[in-house]
Amino acid sequence: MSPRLLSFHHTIKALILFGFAGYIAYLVHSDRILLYIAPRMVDYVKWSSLALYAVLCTKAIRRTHVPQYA
Amino acid sequence: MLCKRLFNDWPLTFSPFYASSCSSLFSGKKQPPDLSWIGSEELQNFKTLFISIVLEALPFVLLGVLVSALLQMFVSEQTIRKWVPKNPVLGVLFACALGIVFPLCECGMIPVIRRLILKGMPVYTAVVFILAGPIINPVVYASTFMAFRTRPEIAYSRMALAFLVAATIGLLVYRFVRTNPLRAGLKYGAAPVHTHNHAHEHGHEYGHTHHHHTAHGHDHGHTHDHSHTHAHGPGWRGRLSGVLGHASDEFFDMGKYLIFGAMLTALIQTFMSRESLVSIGEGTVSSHLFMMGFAYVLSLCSTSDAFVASSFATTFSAGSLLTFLVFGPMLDMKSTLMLLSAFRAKFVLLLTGLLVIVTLIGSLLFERIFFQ
Repeated sequence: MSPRLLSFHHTIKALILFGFAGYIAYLVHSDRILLYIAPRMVDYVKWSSLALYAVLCTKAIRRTHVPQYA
Repeated sequence: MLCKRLFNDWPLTFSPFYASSCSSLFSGKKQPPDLSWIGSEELQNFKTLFISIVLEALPFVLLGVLVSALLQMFVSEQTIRKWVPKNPVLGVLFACALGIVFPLCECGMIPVIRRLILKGMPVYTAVVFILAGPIINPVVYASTFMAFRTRPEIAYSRMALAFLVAATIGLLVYRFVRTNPLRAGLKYGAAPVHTHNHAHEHGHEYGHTHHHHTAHGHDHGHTHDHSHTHAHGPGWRGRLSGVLGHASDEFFDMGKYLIFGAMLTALIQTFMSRESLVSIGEGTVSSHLFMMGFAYVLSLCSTSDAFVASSFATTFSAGSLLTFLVFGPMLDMKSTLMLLSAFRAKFVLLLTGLLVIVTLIGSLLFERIFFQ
C-alpha cells in the first residue's frame, strides 16, 4: 500500500475512535449517559473513553510516521 | 406498547430515565410526515438498546484488548508453554482458576484467548478459560452474592456448576477435537509471520461482517499482529506505543463483531414479543430451555446479569435461574459473533451443542439435589 493510502487508513481509524471517545464525553457531559447504562458502570465507561483517546493519539502519531510501517 | 413492555422487563436498568426521554421526545415536536419513522418507538427502543449494549461492553473490550496487547509485547511463547500444565486434567483445573487472576467478562475474554492460542496455549485449555473465566471470578461472585442476598446458595451453585460444565466440556474437547479449530487466517503455534500487509487487512475489514455464519475459511489478515514488535524503539516509549498500536489493531478487529452483535441483539429485543415466550416456558425442562434462549438473546455482561436474574426470582424456579446465570456468560449472541472471529463456525456450533446439553443436565441435577 502506498504511504499516502496508509496514512489515509490510519486517519480514518483515528476518526472512528475519536467519534467513540467524543460521543462518550458528550453523553457524560450532558448526563444522558444515564439513559443507557447503570450508574454503577458510568466510571468504567468514562475511563474507557480516556483509553480510546490514548489509542487515538498513537494512531495519529503513526499516521505522521508512515514510512516506518509501509 | 413496546415502551411499556420494556418498562416492565427492565426494572433494574434505565426504565425511569427511559420513560422521561420518551415523553420529552414525543411532546411538542413537529416533524415532516416523511421522517415520522425516526421518532417511532421501535427505533428509539432499538437505539437505546444498541447504544447501551455497546457502551456497557466497551470498557471490558478495551481492557481485554489492552491485556492482550500487553501479553503480545511482554510474554513469550515459551513462558506460556511453561505455565500451562501438560497433564490435561491439571490443564483444565488451571484454566478454571485462571479467571480468578484475570477478572474479565466474556467481551474482554476473547481477544485475550485468541492471543493465548496464537502463543501456543492448547485449545482445550483455552475453551475452558472462555467458559469458566467470565463466571468463576471475584467480581461476578460478589455481584451474584449481592443480587441474591437472601439466597446465597444460588451464588455458590453458580460457581460450582460453571466449574463442572467448563471442566466437562474441556475434557470432551481434549478427547474428541483433533483438528485445528482456529479460523484459516490464524496460524497455530505462533510462528511469527512477517507479513505486514495492510492492503489485505483493509480490504476485508468492513466488507465481510454479514457473511460470518458460513464456514468459508475467510482470511482476514490477523497475521499482521506479529510484525510490529521490531518496529518500535527499545525504550519504554517504544514499548508503550507498541502496546497501544496492537491494542488499536485488535480493537478494530473485535469491534466490528461487537457492534454487529449488539445490533442483532437490539433488533431481536425490539421486535420479539416476550409475553408469548414466557407462556411457553412454564414446564420444568422447557423453562430451563427458555432461560437459555433468553440469556442468549439478552447478551448481558456477566457482571450485571445476576441483577436481571434476581428480578425473575418470583416467576421462575431457582434451577432455571441457575441455567440463566451459567449459560448466559458462557455463550450469548454477542460472544458467538466474537467467537466466530477466532474459531471456525463448525467448532463454534459444536461448542454450542455441548454447552446446551451439559448445562441443561447440570442445572436439572443441581435443582434436584440442592433446591428441593
